Amino acid sequence: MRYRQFKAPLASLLAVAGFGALGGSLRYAIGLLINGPAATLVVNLVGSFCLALITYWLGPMSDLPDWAITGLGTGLIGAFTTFSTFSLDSLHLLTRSMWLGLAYMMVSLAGGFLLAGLGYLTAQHMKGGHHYD
Amino acid sequence: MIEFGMVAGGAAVGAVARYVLTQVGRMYQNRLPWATFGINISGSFVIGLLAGLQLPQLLGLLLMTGFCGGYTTFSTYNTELVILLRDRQIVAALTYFFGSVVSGLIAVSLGLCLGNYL
Repeated sequence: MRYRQFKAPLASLLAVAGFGALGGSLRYAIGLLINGPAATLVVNLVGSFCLALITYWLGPMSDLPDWAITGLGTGLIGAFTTFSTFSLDSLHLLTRSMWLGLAYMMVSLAGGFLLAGLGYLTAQHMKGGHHYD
Repeated sequence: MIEFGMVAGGAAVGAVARYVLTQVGRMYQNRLPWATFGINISGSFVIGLLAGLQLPQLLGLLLMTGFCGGYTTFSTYNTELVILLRDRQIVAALTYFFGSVVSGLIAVSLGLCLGNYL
């Protein structure tokens, strides 16, 4: 079953920590600007697009070292977006109003998926490939 | 300013924990991204638990906004879904999609109940 070696180089660990701190702080700052679950929604939608772009365009196309791509993707965007707050906000909204909760979940999930898909297609387009399938 | 320090510190630790667990997950060949699934569900449980405990503001920023927020990830979840669909893994994609959402809600509810009880 085991087929690959465990790899977590120190440079990547440090980059994930540093960029993760930045991503979390940016999420907190947006939470100060926008009230309530709308902040998490905005953060999660923007981040879903950015991660696909970083992973499938910046990663393969730039000369940036692996640790920098890991720092930006896993660290910055990974820590910027959040699933735990999404779950907690969904539960709070569902208990307040089932329809409001369902609407919040639908917009987050459909929007996040579509924006990640759009980020992926944009990455393929900018790479000049035609792998649209 | 101290508020940002709390969030940043928690998020750094959370992101590193997620990175290490994801790298452990990569050692095994799996159709489903189990590492991200486990991270998001355990993080949902913990944030529910902490919400139930009614922590003081700074501790809440460190552990909930910082750690849980940095540990769990919504962007990786969606990017993994896109890749599962690209690879025509329809059943795996639907399982992962609904499994994460439903388990996340159950986990956060259980955490909240436990936190309220404690």
